Amino acid sequence: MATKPSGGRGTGSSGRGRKPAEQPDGDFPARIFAIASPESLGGLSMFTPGLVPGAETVGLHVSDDEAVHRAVQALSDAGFEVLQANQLMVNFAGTREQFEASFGAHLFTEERSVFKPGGLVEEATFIDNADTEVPGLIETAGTGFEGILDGVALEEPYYLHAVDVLPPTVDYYHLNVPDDVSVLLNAQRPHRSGVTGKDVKVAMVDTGFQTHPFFTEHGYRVEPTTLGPGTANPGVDENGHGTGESANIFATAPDVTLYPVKCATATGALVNVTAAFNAAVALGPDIITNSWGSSQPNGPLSAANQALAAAVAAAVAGGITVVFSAGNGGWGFPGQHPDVISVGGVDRQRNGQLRASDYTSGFASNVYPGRRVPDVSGLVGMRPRAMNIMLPLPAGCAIDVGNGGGSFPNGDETATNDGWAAFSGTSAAAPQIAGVCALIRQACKRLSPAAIRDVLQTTAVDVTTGTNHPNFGHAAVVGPDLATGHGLVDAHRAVLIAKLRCRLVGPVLPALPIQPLIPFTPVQPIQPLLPFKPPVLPIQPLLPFRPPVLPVQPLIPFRPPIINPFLNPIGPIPPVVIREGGQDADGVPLTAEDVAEIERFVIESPEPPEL
Amino acid sequence: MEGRPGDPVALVLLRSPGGLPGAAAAVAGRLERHLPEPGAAERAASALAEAGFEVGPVVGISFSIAGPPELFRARLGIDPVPSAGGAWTAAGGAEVPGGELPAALAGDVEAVVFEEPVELLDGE
Repeated sequence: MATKPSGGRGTGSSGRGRKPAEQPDGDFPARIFAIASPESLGGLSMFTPGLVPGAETVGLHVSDDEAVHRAVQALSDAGFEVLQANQLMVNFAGTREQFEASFGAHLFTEERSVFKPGGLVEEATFIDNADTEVPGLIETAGTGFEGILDGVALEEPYYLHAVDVLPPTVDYYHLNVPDDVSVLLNAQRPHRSGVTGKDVKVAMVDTGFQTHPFFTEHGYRVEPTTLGPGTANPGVDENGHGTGESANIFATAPDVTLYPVKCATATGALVNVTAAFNAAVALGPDIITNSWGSSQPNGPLSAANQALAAAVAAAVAGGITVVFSAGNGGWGFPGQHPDVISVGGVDRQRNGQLRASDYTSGFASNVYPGRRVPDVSGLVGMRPRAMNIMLPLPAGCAIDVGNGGGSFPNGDETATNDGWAAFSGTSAAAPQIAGVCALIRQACKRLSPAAIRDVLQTTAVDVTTGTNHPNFGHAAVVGPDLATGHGLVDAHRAVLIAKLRCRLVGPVLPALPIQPLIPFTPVQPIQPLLPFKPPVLPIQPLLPFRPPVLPVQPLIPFRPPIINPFLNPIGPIPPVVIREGGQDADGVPLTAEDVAEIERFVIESPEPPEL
Repeated sequence: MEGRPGDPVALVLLRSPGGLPGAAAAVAGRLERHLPEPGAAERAASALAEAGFEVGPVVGISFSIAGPPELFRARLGIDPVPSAGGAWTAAGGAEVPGGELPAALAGDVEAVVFEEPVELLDGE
C-alpha cells in the first residue's frame, strides 16, 4: 500500500552545521541522482555509519517486494523520477528543491579533487547534505519517508579508471615503450650523444591522436591533429591505432615534433587516404609515416591508386622521406612503391635471438618489376595476433576493447578500458623506423630520402632465421632477402654512417624545390580543409634525384651474423679527422676506398665508436 | 555550400599531356611528364571552389574536393552514394571520367574518383 510522505522537516530548518556558514550555494544540476534503501527485512540500514556491506551481510539490507513497491510509490508521489528498483535499492532523481522539501535536507555543493580520465587530477562538484556526518547521506527519521526508506545516498561523480602513465603488468614476453624498442633498435646511443630527432617534423597519417599521460609525462611534442577530409573530432582517436603507434616514433626519436593527420571515421575506417596524405604533405614535414595500405598483388593500379602513387612520388621528389608498412600478409600498397622506405618485421625473442616475423609481408612486387619488399625491418611480434608491444592509447578505444581481456596470444591480458594494449604488425615497425629516419635527418639534413634508405639498408643487422607470413613463406637468409629486407634497423650505426656521409657529400641540390604548379588563389567562399601552404604544393618541375656528389660505394651491405674477434680482430678505430669536402686536416682527400674502409669499421665493429 | 564531416570526398585527377602515369611512371624520377599543364590545376581548383566545394592541396596529379551530396549532383552531375566504412562512391562507379563532367572542367580534369577505405596494418 502506498504511503504518501507527509513532508519533511522543511527547508526553513537549519542543518547540523557541516556546511560552513559562508559556503555559497553553488550551482546545482537540474537533476540530482540518489539511491534510496527501502526498509529492510533485517532492520539494518545499509547506510549505518561504520557498516561495510559485504557478501555475507548484504542479506540484512534486502527488502521484500511490498517494501520496494511502497518506496517507489512514495518517491513517485513526491515528484521524484524513479529510474530503477530492486530489492536492495531504488535509484531516483529529482531537483534540489524536491530533496529539501521531501527530506528536510540542506544540500550544498563542494569542489573536491578527483582523478579524471587521462590521469588528470582535477576538481569535480560533489553534492552533500549539511545535516549528517556521513558524506552524502540523507536520513529519513522525522520525515514522511520514515518507515519507508532506511536512508538516501546522494550520488557522487565517477570517472573511468584513470589511465596510468605506466603500462600494466602482464605475464608474457613483450616489449615496452620507449625503452625496449629504443634499446633493441640501438637508438639509445645516438640519444645519449644528442641525436634525438630534435627539430625534425614527422607527420603521421593514421586514426588521429588523443592525449595520454604517457606522452605528457615524457614531454613528447605533438601538434594539434589535422583533420583529413571527411573526418571529425580532432582531439579524439576513436580507434586508438594512431595514438599507440605514435609511441613507436617517440621510442626511437623522443624529440621529434609529431603532426598527426586523422583519416579515420568514428567507426575506425580509413577513408580518403590520398587526400589525407596530401594534407600531410602540405604540412611541410621532413618525414611522413604511414601504417596502412591496401593489397595490390598485380597491376594495373586504379585511378585512385595512381593518384596516391603520384602523391607519394611527388612528396619524395620534394625531399620528404616517406615510410610505409610493408603489410601483414597482403601485398602492401603503397608499401611496395619504389620511392618509399618499406618496413617489414623482425621478432626479437626472449632469449635475444632475432627471427623474421611470420606476421609480416615480404615479396617481389608484380606492380613494380624489380621492387623487393621490404627494404628494412622494425620490431614486430608473431602470429596469431602479433601482440608484442605494449602501447598507450585512449582508454576504452576500439583497440583497447578489442585486444583487452583473454589470454595471450589471443588476448593481451589487459583491461578493456585501461588505456594500454599490446599490438604491433608492420604498423608498429614503420613508425619505429620513421623515428630512426628522424635521427638520420638530424645528423645530416643533406641526405636525400633515397640516401637515408641506403643508410638504413647498409647498417641493418642481418637476420638469418625465420620465415615471413605464410602467404609468402620467404625464409630469412644471409644477406638481403624477402623476409626482412636488409634486416633489423640499427639506429646507432645508421647515425654514424649518416654523419660520415654528411661530411663527404656536398650540399644536396634541393631535391626538388617544391614550387607550386599554380599559385593557389582561394576563391570565395573557399575554406580550405587545411591551412593552405602554397610553397609546398604542387610540384614542378620534377627533377631526377641527384646522387651524392661522391659515390660512396661499395658499401659493405651486411655484417656477418657473428663476428669472431679472434679470427677477425677488430682493433680500435683510428681517429678520423674529416673536413668538409672530404679533406682531412692536412688536406689529404678521402678517397672512396677510404670511406668504404671506415664504413666497414663502423658496420662490423661490435661497439662502433662515436665519430 | 561547405562540406561537413561525413560529406562525400572525392579526388580530382588532373589531365596531363602524358595521361595518367600508371604504376611505372608514378615514381619520383618519372612523374614529370604526367604532371598537368601549367594553369590546369588552378583553373580546376578555382572552378570547384567557386562552385562551393572545399578544395584540398594539390599534390602530384590530384587534389581533393568535399561537399554535400547535393552539391556533387548539382555541379558535377555525380550522384554520391554511401559505401562501406563511412566512405562514398558514385552511383555509376567510383571513377567518373572527365568527359562526363561539365564542359568547364572536362578539359583540365581526367577523372573524379572516390577512394575505397584502406586497412590499418596492426595486429589483427
